[in-house]
Amino acid sequence: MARFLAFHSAPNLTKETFTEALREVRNWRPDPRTTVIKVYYSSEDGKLISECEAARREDFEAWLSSRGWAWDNIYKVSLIAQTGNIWEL
Amino acid sequence: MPEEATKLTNQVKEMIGITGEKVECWNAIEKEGLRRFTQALMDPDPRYWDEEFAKSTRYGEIITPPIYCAYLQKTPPGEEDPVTKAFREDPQSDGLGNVTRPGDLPPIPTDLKRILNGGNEMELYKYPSLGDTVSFQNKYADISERVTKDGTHMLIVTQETRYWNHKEELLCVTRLSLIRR
Amino acid sequence: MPTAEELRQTRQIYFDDVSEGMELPPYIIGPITPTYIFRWSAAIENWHRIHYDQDFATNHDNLPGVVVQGTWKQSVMPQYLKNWCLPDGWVWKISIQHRAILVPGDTITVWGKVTKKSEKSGLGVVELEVGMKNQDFIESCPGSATVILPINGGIPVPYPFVAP
Repeated sequence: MARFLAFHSAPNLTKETFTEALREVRNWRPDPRTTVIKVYYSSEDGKLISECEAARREDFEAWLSSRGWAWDNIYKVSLIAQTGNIWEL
Repeated sequence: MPEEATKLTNQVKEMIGITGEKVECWNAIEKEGLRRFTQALMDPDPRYWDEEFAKSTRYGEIITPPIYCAYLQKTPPGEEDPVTKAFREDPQSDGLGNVTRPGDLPPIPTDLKRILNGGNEMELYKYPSLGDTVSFQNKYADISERVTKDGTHMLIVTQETRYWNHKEELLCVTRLSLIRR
Repeated sequence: MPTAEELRQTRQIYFDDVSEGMELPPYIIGPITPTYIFRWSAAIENWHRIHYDQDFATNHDNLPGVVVQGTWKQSVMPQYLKNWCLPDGWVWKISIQHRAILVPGDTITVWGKVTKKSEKSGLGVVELEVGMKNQDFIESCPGSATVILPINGGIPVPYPFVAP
């Protein structure tokens, strides 16, 4: 399993369409090994950052495609600092 | 690829039937703990809290939920705080740490370190009553081996726990199957 | 899930009322939230971080988030069956396996189905298939159970329970 970050664009998302795309468990957990943990959206710039735990990068790409969200870059995460806690992945 | 040797060694087989010490849980069953448990379970059954109604049932008294007695093993006052100990030993502890508790069985002598819960069984005989003190005893009821299609050997360890009240009435029996791989 | 009042007034289901293939009325629980999960951990003093610490669950254990406890499922299943056979039936045995993880957002359906019925020593022995599925019909805890029901006009189910 690995953690990935995608930087991508989705102009014109509203709170409603964002919620519809991401609220239900099946939308953020498409299969037992793929979890989209967090998605940040900037409505000003139409930019998204998505964080995903998946067995393979391709699984994350498949999810992004299913949302219709093309990606600029996908990176594999190795370290996380969150409120003082350091996680090595 | 050479075939993996069996993990069900004679040393492991010798663990079958090993029984731990019988342990009495700290504190008798009381209303506040029962309230907290049943509300967390979201079971509003008045048999757990309405004395008048409970008296009119076949049980004749307040009862407690099935296998409630399995959750009574708490850290007694005066003993080292297990949470502090867990984080002192490992700042990235999972919160449980390597806690050895009274009644625990000796470890299985195997190099299969990963442990998964393979399932739970329970047999119910009596609900504990308010005021009961509960004792329990663990046993390795069975250890067997399973080989997956890719030739990986796993051990299935069945740990059985029996629970009694202070009158030595059997309350329930639980069995936990742990997969070691 | 039934209310306290409904549980006071539950009408006894007898062995005679049960048929093989019959489905029990399901329980719907949820949507599950992190607070429900935390409250259970607090009630049973289970300090495992995967049940209340989102960062630990995702970053250390690679879980999809905080997860529902197996111990909770182990108590909900006998609760479900107890309520079905109230006031005088007895849930004798349950066996469950833990499969799909349940997470906040899941709505759980607890279900049961009668697979076999037989009489033994004047008591009704009912075997069931049981489980808990989420809203996407993914099974989380498949299992089986044995419930003892009184036969209409027959002897009461003994308490404390003695196996027939």
